[in-house]
Amino acid sequence: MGTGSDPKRGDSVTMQAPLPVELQGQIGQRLREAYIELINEPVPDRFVTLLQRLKQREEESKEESRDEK
Amino acid sequence: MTKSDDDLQALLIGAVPNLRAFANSLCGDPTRADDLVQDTLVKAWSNLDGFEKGSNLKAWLFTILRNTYFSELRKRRREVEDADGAMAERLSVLPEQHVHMDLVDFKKAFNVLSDDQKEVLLLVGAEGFSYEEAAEITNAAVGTVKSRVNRARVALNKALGFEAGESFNSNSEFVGVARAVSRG
Repeated sequence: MGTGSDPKRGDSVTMQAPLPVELQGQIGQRLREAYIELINEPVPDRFVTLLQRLKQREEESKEESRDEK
Repeated sequence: MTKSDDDLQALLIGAVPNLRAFANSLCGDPTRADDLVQDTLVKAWSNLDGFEKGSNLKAWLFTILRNTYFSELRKRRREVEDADGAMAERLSVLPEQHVHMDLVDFKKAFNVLSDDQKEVLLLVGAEGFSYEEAAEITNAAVGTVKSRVNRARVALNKALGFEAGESFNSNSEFVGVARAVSRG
């Protein structure tokens, strides 16, 4: 990708050469390290509680509509 | 997929660590990140009918999260346009305890990226989405995503001070500009 011969690719943005593979690898590794650290943080209870509440509310509203019939 | 599906709750909970990591990396504020994840789960739950069974649930959740983030961001920008430095201050409250020095530097460097660059780099480089999936999530062309990822890497590389890349890139960028100018 990105040969200089295509006249439609004349701007500096698309002409930006990609990083050498070795540097891409270094950056990718650091990014993943930082990201994995975030992923490994314990999940607060509020999210489990939230989903339980949503499900509960769903079931309650189903029962209500059944009662109305 | 229906709401009574027991697996669904497990699937949504299973996606939370990744959604939190993505939100945290995007906005740099753990409290706001958790609010974003909460909004995402509520929206996902109430829009389940809009989710096509068999398609990628994680990609769908990421789409909801980034759309929520960017629409909030646009709203906030209008609100705090005059409050100089509010953004910079917000970015400086990253949780940095129990983080290795190298990673702290990396986070600082990461914050030089634009939001557009951050999100595609996170999706492709950290989450492992394909360029095509990232394009769908961000509602952009595949070529745009590739170009953003590339520019994000170049900018990160420069901010991290990796020498070889720096000279290589400033040169190639210059050549690119020079070529464009000489052709025009």
